Amino acid sequence: MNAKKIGSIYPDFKNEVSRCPGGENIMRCFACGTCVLSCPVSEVTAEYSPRRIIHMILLGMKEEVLGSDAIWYCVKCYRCHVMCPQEVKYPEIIRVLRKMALEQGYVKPLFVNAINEIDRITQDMRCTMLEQIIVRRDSITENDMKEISKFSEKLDY
Amino acid sequence: MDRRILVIGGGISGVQAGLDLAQMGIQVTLVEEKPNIGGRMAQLDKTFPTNDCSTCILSPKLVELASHSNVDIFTCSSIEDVVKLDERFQARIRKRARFVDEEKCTACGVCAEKCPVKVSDLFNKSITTSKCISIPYAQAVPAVYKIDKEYCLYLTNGKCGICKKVCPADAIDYEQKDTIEAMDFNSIIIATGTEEFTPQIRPEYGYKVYENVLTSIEYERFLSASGPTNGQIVRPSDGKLPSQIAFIQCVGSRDVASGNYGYCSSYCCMQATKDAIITKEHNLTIDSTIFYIDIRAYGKDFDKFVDRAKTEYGVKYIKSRISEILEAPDTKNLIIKYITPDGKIRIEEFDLVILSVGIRIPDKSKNLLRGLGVELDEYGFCRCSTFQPGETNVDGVYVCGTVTGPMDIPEAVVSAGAAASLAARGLLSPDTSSEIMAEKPGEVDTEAKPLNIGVIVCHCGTNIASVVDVPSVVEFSRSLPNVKFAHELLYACSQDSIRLIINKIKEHDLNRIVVASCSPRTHESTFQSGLEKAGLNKYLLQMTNIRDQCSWVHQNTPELATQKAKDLVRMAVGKSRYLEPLYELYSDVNKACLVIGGGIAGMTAALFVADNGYQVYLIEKESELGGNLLKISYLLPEEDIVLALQRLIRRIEEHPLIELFLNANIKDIKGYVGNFTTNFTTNDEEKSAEHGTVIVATGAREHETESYGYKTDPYVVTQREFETVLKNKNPLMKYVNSIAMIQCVDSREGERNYCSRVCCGQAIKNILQLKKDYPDKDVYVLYRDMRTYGLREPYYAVAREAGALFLRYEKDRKPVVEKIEQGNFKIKLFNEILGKDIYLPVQLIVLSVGIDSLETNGQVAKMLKVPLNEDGFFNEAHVKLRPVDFSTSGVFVCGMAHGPKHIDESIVQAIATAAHALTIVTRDKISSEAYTASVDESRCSGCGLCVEVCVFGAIEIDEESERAGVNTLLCKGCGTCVAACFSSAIDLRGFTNKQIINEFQELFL
Repeated sequence: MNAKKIGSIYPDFKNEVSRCPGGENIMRCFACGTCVLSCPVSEVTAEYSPRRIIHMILLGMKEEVLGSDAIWYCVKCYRCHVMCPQEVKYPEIIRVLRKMALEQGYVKPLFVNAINEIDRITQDMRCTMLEQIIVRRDSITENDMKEISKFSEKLDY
Repeated sequence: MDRRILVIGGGISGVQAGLDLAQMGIQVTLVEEKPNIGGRMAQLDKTFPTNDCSTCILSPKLVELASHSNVDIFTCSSIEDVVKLDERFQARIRKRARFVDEEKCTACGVCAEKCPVKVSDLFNKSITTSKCISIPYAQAVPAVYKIDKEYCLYLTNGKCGICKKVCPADAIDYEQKDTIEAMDFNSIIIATGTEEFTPQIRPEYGYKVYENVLTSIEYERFLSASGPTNGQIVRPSDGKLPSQIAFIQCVGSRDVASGNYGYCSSYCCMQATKDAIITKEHNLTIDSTIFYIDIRAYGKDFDKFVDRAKTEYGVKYIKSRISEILEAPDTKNLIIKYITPDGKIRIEEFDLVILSVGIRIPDKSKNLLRGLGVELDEYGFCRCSTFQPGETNVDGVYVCGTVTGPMDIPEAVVSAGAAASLAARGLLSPDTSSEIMAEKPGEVDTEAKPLNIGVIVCHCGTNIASVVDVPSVVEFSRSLPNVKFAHELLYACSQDSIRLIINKIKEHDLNRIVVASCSPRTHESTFQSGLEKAGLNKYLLQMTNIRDQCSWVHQNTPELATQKAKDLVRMAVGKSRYLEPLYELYSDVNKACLVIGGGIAGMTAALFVADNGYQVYLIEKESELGGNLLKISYLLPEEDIVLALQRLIRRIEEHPLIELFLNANIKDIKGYVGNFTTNFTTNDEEKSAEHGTVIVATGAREHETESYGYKTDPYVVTQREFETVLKNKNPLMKYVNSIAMIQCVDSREGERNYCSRVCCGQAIKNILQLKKDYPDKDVYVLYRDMRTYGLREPYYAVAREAGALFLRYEKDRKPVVEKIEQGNFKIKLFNEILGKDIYLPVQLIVLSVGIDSLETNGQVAKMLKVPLNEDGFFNEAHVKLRPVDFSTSGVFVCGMAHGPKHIDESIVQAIATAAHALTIVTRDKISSEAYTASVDESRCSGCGLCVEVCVFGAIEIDEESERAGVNTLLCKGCGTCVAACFSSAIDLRGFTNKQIINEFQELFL
């Protein structure tokens, strides 16, 4: 697919991404880091950095990017999209990368389904927990806080 | 015919353009929308990189403009419409009613004191309130109050009228109407400036939602001693002193997503640096952190300023654009999340956040410009072409200041000079000399007469009299020896008071006048003109400031204030006994101009002087004209540089008033403003030229490096060489697939601790050319900060979109080039985003080596008695407001001799130097100061210390007598030599030792 490959580098990878709808603005990135700071995933998973993914694409690190765990972490909240001063449209780029990863055999369709299901369940779970908290909104105790925190420890799927 | 130019906009660029024109003898009408001139500069506390007080350096300019006989200022005014008739413009100017008579108002402030209506204080960015009748700040020009008709009780419903009742000058006029005046102009200069970006467009910063988030200009008002908090730094939420301040850069700049703001606003990095330094100076306990994308310290000595902020003031710089600000509900502290240099995310609380807001063209200005037919760029700036800076597409309409693009104050001042030069073209000629020296009435000979001292004590409305017991000061004055007359006046400066003073001088045969009132800075000339009209030498006046020094600073202790006023009057009378008549010296002006250097700056300056009808001697050391431009093939934005250069050279060669000397070497330059003689050789032939002014345009050169294998490998080239490679479609490009550009080579560290300003733009220019001819070649740019400031920023975006990859490195983690074989390199670079080293295989390395000053600058500097900075570039008289002048009169600097700069910037500066040279050569005679130094030869030992300390080059040791001699025409009366002289051999006229000693003896009586 990529004619040019130098070592493990595909210099055309950025063009491949930018040719796809949603990926057009990837090269506008000037690495300011706004995306990282706006990202709710980066907040809980320090290793996850949208800026790094974009940078790897620009550097032509195709195999690392498409084979990475990171591209599946995005929750598509679009905060980075709104705050990015250069309109890089990171969530759209993620859409492009995930499609490429699937088409080029980095992941299987069921894996993508599983990710989507996790996203759905997470939202479902959030709403369920919120409902329980909201009805007791005036009587939240320190103990409730502990219970909520404990919940995440039980989550090891 | 009347020669009159319309200047629209009274900010620093409009003011400077007006002054330059007025000094060339051209009539100026300046139209300003606000009630006062001065623009945004008047709102600033201090200025970078010298931390000069903004108002202190601006006010004298404003006063000078307002009092210039060639200048009419229309405030509260706007342009209704402009029609071009033949070669002239007819403009209709609407002057909105102020409801205060400009002629009568003395700015005493009684009206505002009594006015019951409070309104938002716009000058202080609405942080505080002012009265409905107000003046924005104490030094405002014109010093006239204005009624806000929206809120005035009388004007809205006919009730109140207090200000009219209390005004002692009868200046309130509720009947005043808007007026429209039509006037004819030869040309128009537009200096309408910009407005600040409204940060609400980025709501994630919480501006106007969180109380402790301010804009940079609001913070300037907090820092200013005349601001709403009298210079106290406080949190708006609770009035407490903050301890941690964050500055957030690029709010509304380099941001295409929140609007059309793809450009860089140029000055904000330095403004934040300055504010952080001043904050520390205000209070050592406050720490500042600046969050940035790239630090753009591209100007002269700016990097050194940033270094000082870091090392001396502990300012933290963190490269992390902030995505949002949250507020802690209990403390109203602000929570900022940022990326640390090692890639970690950290959350920190600040108690005050300053948003460094960018600038943009207001819609109103866009409409005005479009109405005149002026073409604007996509952002609304009137972007000029490289070779015609200051010119618009409409003949006779010129632009300066930020309306042409973001810039800092000195650049605005330079562009103003250029616009003045452009607008004056065709209006000047050596035959129509501008300066008509007013014949002074015959002066009374005071020498032989006994001392008759008159003392005037001013009430200044209630300004002085509400604290100081004026009648008792007058009574006290009468008791002093030699005082023949003492009198009090409500407003000593008003027209009828001056008439009274003139009459009393004649009636009592007074020959010394003491005025106890306000500041000589603003009012000395008023009283001096009174003395002149009475036939007295105007230097027989002595003022003493009992307003600022007594009633203002001691308002709570009126008795002591009165006692101090008496002491001050006694001192002034003491000094006045020894005042002597002083006279300005006049000297003829040689109307020719010498231009040193035939590069783009020198050629441009020469043409502008010659086009106005004045002789130019152009001296170039090489065998052809063109300088560095001969080696440049492309421009950003694209323009035909070769054709432009050829045209320029042809015009120089064919110009009847330009005498060109190639292969020339200057041997010496003697003389002073108006009367220079230069000896030089041209093609080994001895020559001599007489001229009145000198323009230094000696240029600079590309730095020679030995870094990264340059000189040992033909595949390591400089940006300039790479440009030639591209232009010649050099076959070596066949073997090159990927290219690395390394920025800041040997720059911004060690001995060359300055930014060469042009290299980032040069790299971008070459990338765009490369990608045009070879779209498939990869290019990596290894940079420290991308400094594509102002309207160059959008090209940086184009380069990125063309596929160039920008990789940052730190000064202490430079890229390492490993040469595998000739034309095959592996570059190791620590990649901070990946947190590890990466290796770039490249076949060509392009070095951005920057610019060096010329070694020969030292000789030129010595001959002209002008200074160099530590990097060997010429030092201008004042970095902010006199960017093309030297302290030595009649000598000017432009182009890269002054510091690294882009072609268009050199051209603007060159045109500005022409304007300043024209302000001298258009006069038949130039005058000296009256307050000048004089040497008592009998006490002088000829040690030469005074020569060294004189920044104006006004003192020389006479070779024969071995005594110091002062050139009165160059002396500015600063007094430095007087203080330096060990033998007390130097005295300053008007401030002689005798005068000062007697003044102080009175104090200790």
